[in-house]
Amino acid sequence: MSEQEPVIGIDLGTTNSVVAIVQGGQPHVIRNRTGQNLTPSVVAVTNAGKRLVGQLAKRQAITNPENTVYASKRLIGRKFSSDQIRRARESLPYHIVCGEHDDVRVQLGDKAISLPEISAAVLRELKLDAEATLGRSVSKAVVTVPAYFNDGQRQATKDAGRIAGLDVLRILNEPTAAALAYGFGKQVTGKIAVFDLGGGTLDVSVLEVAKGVFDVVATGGDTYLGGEDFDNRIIEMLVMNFAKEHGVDLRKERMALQRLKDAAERAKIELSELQETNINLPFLYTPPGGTSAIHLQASLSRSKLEELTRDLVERTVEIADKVLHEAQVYPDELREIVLVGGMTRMPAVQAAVKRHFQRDPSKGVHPEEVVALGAALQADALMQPSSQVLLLDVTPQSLGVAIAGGYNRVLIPKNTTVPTSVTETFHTSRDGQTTVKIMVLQGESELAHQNELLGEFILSGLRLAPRGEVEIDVTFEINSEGIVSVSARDKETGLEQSITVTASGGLTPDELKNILEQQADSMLEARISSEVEQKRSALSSAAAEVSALIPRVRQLTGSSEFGREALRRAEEVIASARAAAQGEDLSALTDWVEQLERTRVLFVGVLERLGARPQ
Amino acid sequence: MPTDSDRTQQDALSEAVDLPLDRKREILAREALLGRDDWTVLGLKPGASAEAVKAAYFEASKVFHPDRYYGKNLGSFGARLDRIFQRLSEAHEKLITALRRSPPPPTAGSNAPRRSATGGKAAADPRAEERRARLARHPYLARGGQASALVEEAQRALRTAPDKALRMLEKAKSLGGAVARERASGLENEAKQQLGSQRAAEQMRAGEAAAQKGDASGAAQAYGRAATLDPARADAAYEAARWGLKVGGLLVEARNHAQHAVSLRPDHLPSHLLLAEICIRMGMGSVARRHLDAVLKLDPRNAQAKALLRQVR
Repeated sequence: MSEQEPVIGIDLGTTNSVVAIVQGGQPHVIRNRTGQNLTPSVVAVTNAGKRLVGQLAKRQAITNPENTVYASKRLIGRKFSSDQIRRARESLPYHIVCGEHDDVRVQLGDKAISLPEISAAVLRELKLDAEATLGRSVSKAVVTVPAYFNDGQRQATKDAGRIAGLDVLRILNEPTAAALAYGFGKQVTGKIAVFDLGGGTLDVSVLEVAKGVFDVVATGGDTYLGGEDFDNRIIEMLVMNFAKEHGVDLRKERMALQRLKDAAERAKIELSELQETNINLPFLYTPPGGTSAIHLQASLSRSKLEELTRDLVERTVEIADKVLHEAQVYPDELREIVLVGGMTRMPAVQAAVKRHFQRDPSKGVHPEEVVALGAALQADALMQPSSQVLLLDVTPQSLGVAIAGGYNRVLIPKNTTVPTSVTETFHTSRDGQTTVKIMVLQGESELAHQNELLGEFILSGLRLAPRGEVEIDVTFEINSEGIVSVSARDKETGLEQSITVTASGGLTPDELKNILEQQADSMLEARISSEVEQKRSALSSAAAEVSALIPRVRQLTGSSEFGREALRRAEEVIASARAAAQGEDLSALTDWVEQLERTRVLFVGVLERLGARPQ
Repeated sequence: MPTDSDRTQQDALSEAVDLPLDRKREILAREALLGRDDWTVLGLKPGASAEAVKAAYFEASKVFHPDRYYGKNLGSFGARLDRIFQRLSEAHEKLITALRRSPPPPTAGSNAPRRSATGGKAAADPRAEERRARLARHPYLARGGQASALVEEAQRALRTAPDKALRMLEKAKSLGGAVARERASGLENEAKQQLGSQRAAEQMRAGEAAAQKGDASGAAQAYGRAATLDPARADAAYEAARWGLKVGGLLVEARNHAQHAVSLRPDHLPSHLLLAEICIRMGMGSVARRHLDAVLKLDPRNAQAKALLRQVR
């Protein structure tokens, strides 16, 4: 049997993304083509219309703030009208616009790009990195998301995978992945907690581990609490001080905002090591009217940062407390506490965790890489029947139906192990009711409208009867892929209606199809342009070689009629070829490369015949 | 004569799927047990320990979890595996919960007054409670009204059932209304404190019980929990430190508890002595001396303090 196709694990992060693979039974991080383990989750379009991803995109963010998208994970799968998006629009330097069905788009150049497409650009980059390292094509992946992502956000991430040309085998929860990587190969037995504070989200999970089985007991978190919020506190402080001193509101200056963001992140990271750091942003603001530019110079101490972010740190442990409480686990029952995510490098966060769990968190995992390693392990576990790793995962949020009065009746509570199914009998609520609308909800609120609506359908043709007489069985099912299906059945007539709930990730199936088709076109374009690129470089080196031969040919044959003629023609060829190199015409380029090659062969032959050694 | 189930079993065994015959038999055999009690489903004898339940569940999961057959053609076995795994996880959940549930703590103190309180109110206006509840549930009632009703209810439940009050307050906050939200946040802290002291009291009782049985580590654990649940309880901190020292585990924790106990009751001599003793063990002579001096200042003839002071020197 031929070797199996490689399956990669991807941690698609708010700030950085990582790709990993299991080889020879061990998980490894795959370096990107610039030699780094972490690829910034940044996508940009330059003024020339070129799309940049990763480090290249991040590097030019300051000079191109409006067309550089970062932290897009905080927007994916959300509704444009939601509170979070409203808040994000105030603080992000790029433009967020509303899609056709209340979905979020980003204005890049003249196009409004959907969030799955943005994430797809990052995923495609990682896929190419993996292909470059492995030397073979990769089309399957396990991708991680925060445990607290709802179905819409998960679906949007899956869509992103499809757009990037990846078949997403499984969407895996980040803390679960971290636990998998942490516990892999160790003889850990007992309960472990994973505290995952990343760029955008906080996830806390409790797992029970024994002999390769990872049983998720409970998971919870906040999709809007992470490193970005810490950065924002620093930015707020700098903006306030600047306004006090100079009377200028920097939030209106997109370029300044981008530089502030960069500086804030850097200062925050430095303060994990140092007690004090300086923030220097020369020429931050140029007042209109040509007066001289204003610089920003400030120093920030670790204790000041801790003061600015105390409530955020407090909230992280409060959430952890809630998850432990739900899992009915006391801190002292935990065998290990694993810290994951770049933000857990902050000493105040470590201290808060230590204080709360009353012990030192485990060292020895790389907080930024462990999630991708876990994803790779789960990918391997799915593909290799001999794998010793088995993950028993849970539904992170409750599933229910809307009932009379606008309430939510939970059928599958959160933290239920999947796959699972539940059937419950409902009664009609009005006299002579012949249809019933089943609205499938995800969330913890008792009020229907405060939950996410995953889908709805109508069961009709019920028997005419007084209210409460007709009985309807509603069955919820979640398979191990995490796909939810719901069916309703009239108990008497056996009439049945069902849906597979495919939460919309913001793109309709048609839109997704269109993107995939366009994708095929632009892939073709990309391939052609890379061929053009190759020919161009072949052309320029051929032209250089011929040019280098000309003086010696002139020296030896310049006096003859033939020589003068040949040299004149060679110079013509070089000039025309260089002109053609400015264009895009692939066949013309090919012709000129051939002509140059012929000239070169001719000259080399002449030099040999006349006894001069060619170089 | 073969019965119906025999026939379907035969059909299933001959089904063309990516599973070895042994595995098919194993799946069908387990499926036949699904209607039985939770122990049998997990392949256990009734009365097995929580550890045995967990181990059996994990072992069975390695065979029956659908992920073990990812991407394979399973035919009817796909649905069988889903059913089996779901039943396994149900059985495990139920048994573990039942086995873990410790005997309830004595509740005589907390139950009796609650009953009399609601009884008293019912006598004054028999239907007021019900009317209010019905009003709160009414969907057309302004949400702000609902929220403030919840806040009021939470306030009443604060002393007796702080956990319930907390849930109500959370709901009230989600319903909105600036006034209700503000009041809810205020009450929430109170409820948290109340819940903490209630749970701390439970842990204190558990600690006493363990101490009587001579279970030092159990006592240390329970007192430690009590001390963290209710930081205002000096007795919990003191006991946690005392038993922590006895068990001899991490002295840092015992020291923290003792330090806390001292700061809560600066005049309590045993706390100072305990802290001093722990510090001596940890090689922190100067801290120990400071506390012993404090004791001798309050009680110049304290023999224990003098003895300990000699150890420092």
